[in-house]
Order: sequence, then structure tokens, then C-alpha cells
Amino acid sequence: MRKAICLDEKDNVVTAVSTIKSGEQISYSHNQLNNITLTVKDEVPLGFKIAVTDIRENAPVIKYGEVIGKSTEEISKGSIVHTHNLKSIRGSKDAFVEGGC
Amino acid sequence: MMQEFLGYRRENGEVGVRNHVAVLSAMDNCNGIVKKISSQVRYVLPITVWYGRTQYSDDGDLTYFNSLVGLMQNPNIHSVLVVSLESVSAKKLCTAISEKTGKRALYIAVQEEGNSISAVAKGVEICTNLISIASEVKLEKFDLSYLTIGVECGGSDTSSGLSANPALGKIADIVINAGGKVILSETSEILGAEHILAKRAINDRVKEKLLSIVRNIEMETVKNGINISEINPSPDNKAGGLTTLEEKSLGAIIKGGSSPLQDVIEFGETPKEPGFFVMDTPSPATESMTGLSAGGAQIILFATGKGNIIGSPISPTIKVTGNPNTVEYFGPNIDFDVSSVFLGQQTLDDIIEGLLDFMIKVASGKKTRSEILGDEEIVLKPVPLVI
Repeated sequence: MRKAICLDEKDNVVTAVSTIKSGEQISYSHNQLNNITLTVKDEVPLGFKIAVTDIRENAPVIKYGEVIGKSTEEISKGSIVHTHNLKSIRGSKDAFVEGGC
Repeated sequence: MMQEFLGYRRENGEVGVRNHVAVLSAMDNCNGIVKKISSQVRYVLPITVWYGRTQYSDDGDLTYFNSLVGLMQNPNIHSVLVVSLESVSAKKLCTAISEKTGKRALYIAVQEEGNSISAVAKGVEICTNLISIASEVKLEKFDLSYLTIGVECGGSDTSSGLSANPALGKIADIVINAGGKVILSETSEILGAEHILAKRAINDRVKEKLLSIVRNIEMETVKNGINISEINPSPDNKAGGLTTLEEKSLGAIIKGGSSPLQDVIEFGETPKEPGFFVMDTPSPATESMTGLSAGGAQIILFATGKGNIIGSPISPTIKVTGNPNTVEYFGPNIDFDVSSVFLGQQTLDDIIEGLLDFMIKVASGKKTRSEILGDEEIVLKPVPLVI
């Protein structure tokens, strides 16, 4: 049974479809990406995201092939990605001044 | 194969999937009377409201009035008893309800009946007759072109965007290909994904309208000192793995399918032609579904992740989830389970016929979980100024 979903080749996160233990090795596939293996560094509950590459601070986080926000700290490959290290670009005063979409 | 459901033909050619006699409060002070009438007459559908007093002047804000009229014009309503304190507002509502649809809309005004006890008695008598008349309407077969489907999500988590919303999107495309209408709503949950919907707009006017309703929400919140991305995703969305509003929106818009965007319509407005529409509504499900019901949706497909119980009392609401944990603990509130898609055991194509069959059964009378359990509510968009 698959452990994580990858939605687009451009994505730098995948989504866990069951709870994954820290240190567990998982694999994911999407079109050209076939059985890519990844060692998960944190305990990841069902539905949470995992970085599939190292993501530097203040860099776009990509899911669905689209930007879902930017990292607030450096995120290492295999780490859980959530509110502690990812934030929205849209809807705040700063973001709106920057232009948004 | 031609898909057909059993529905109720209305005088104006529209088709209901339910045959309700509604008892409607014109204003909040009549809610008690509406509740008493519906406790004494079986089969009536009570619709109570907040606000309403001072909303019936000719130069007032029309959203409240139009929403009530829209709800009662929904093809699932056979006939209406309006309950008001005085007759002016009641008559105005009745005229507007029957004008477009030809349906029977009667009223009682407490001040004309003398007092609340005699008003209840009169209401009971009227509803007894209306139920008797409504029960004569025969079911007939109709194809999917007669359907307007609202697509909704609530209590979302990451499973929503990966399984339940894509399943709804497939149904949306099937309904539109058959000549029906589909309405996507919840403007703030387009924010971050509007560029994708905008590409599907049939012309520049529609594209600009879509971008402007999203821009307005973003500007309005910033102007009021609100950081929208701190409110939305909600706490349960975050507990389900959704981190940002962009992520939630990108998953949410999938439930609208892939058809061209015909137009962007107001809260409670009825789509004029077949195809895919975006309605400008608030993001909480209860308010959003009120807009969808007022816009004529006979059925609402509702994707949930962590679990949201609410349905529209007017438009049977089908709860679909892809989260296997939710299927387990929220089971009594779920109509259709697509967790096999989330887990990768089945594809969308494997399950879509089952979901379509389920929707057709509901359109033909099968009760949804929120109908059976009564987890239903109407909430009108707040009146901007009550004087």
C-alpha cells in the first residue's frame, strides 16, 4: 500500500496517506517519477506533508505544481512541513502590498 | 447510457428532487410561530431566520429579500406559507416567490390574525391543505440536464483535495456534459488558486469578475486589519494537515471540475444557462449552502475531511470523504466513502460510477445523512446594516 502521494513532478512536498514513523523509508511515484525512496525524519500523521528535497529558508513550497506558501526556516529533506516552517504568502498586508496575484 | 432520476415537475418547467411545503419566517420575531406550526403539521419544512425587521423597504439592501425569495423559488419547494408580523412584508415576499415560478405562496400576518395563538391555528389549517395538494404531485423521469448541483467542502483536510474534491469534480463534469449546471462557491477559498479558474473563464469580462471578487475579499480583510491566512485554514483544517490558504484553495477548486467558467454570480443568484458557475459567497459551509440553495441547486455535493455535519434543509446534501479515519469515527454522517482513492487502492474512474449512481438515488428520493439526522440550517448572509 502506498504511504504518500506526490501530485506533480515540480512538487517539493508529498502528502502522507497513513501515519509514518520517524526513520521509516517510504517510496512515492508520479508519472515520470517512479518509486522514489525517501527516509522520513519525523513522525508524520496521516494527511501531513513531507519535504522531498532540502528547502532553503524563504523559498516557495510547491504542491499541486503550484506555490502553497513559503518556508519560514530551512527545511531538510524528509522533514514534516506544516505551520511551524511554512506560511501563506497571500491575504496579509505585506503580501498584498507585494502584489499577490 | 442515459442517466435519469425521478423528480417533481414544477409549473415553470423546473424540476424538484424534493416536494417540500415550506413554512418561512419573514423575520426573526415569527420563528416561534413557524416552529409551532411545523410541530403540529407533519411533512412541512420550517425555515427560520435571523433579522428581517426593517428589511422590506423599497430602497433597502436587497440581499436579504432576494435570498429568501431565491430559497423559496428553489424547485425542491412545492409551495410556501410565509409567516410575518404584518402583511406588507408578507405580501411582498409571496408576490416575488410566485412571480417567476407560478408556485403557490400564501401568508399569515400575526397582526391580521389577532395574536400568535390564532396565527398558529390559521397556519396549521393552511399547511394541512398545502400538504394535501403537494402529495398529489407524481414523480416523473428526467435526465441530468434538469439538475443544478452545488459543490461544497467543509471541515477540509489534505484528503479533501486529493480524493473527495476530485471525485466531486468528475461528477461536476458529467452533469455539465449532460446539459446541467454546477455552482462552486466560497470566494475566500479561491484565494491562491484564482489564476487557475481565471484561465477557464469564457471571456475577459468573466475573468475580471472572478479576479475582482477574490481581490475584494483580500482588500477588505487587509483594510479591516484581518490576516485572512490566520483565520483560514481553520483549526480543524490545520489538524488535518492543511497549512496555508493557498493549499486549501488549490484543493478546493478541484471540486468544480474542468469545464469552462460561464459566469460569476451574486450570492443566491440563479445561473441563467447550463455550465459551470462561481457564486460569490462567504466561506463557512452553512452560509455558502444557503446561497447555493437560493441559486436553485437541487442537490449539494459536500466533500469533508475531518468531518462537518451540516447540510442544507432545502437541497439534499451528500457527504463524501476520502479520509479513512473519518469514515471510521464519522461514519453515521457520511453518505459516500472515497478513502480507497486516497489510499491508492482504487482510481477516481473506479469509483465515479458508484458516486453518480448514489447522487441519482438521492435525486430520486433517497435520504441523505444530514436529512435523516436533521443536521440542517439556513443562514442568510449577514445584513450589513440593521437600522
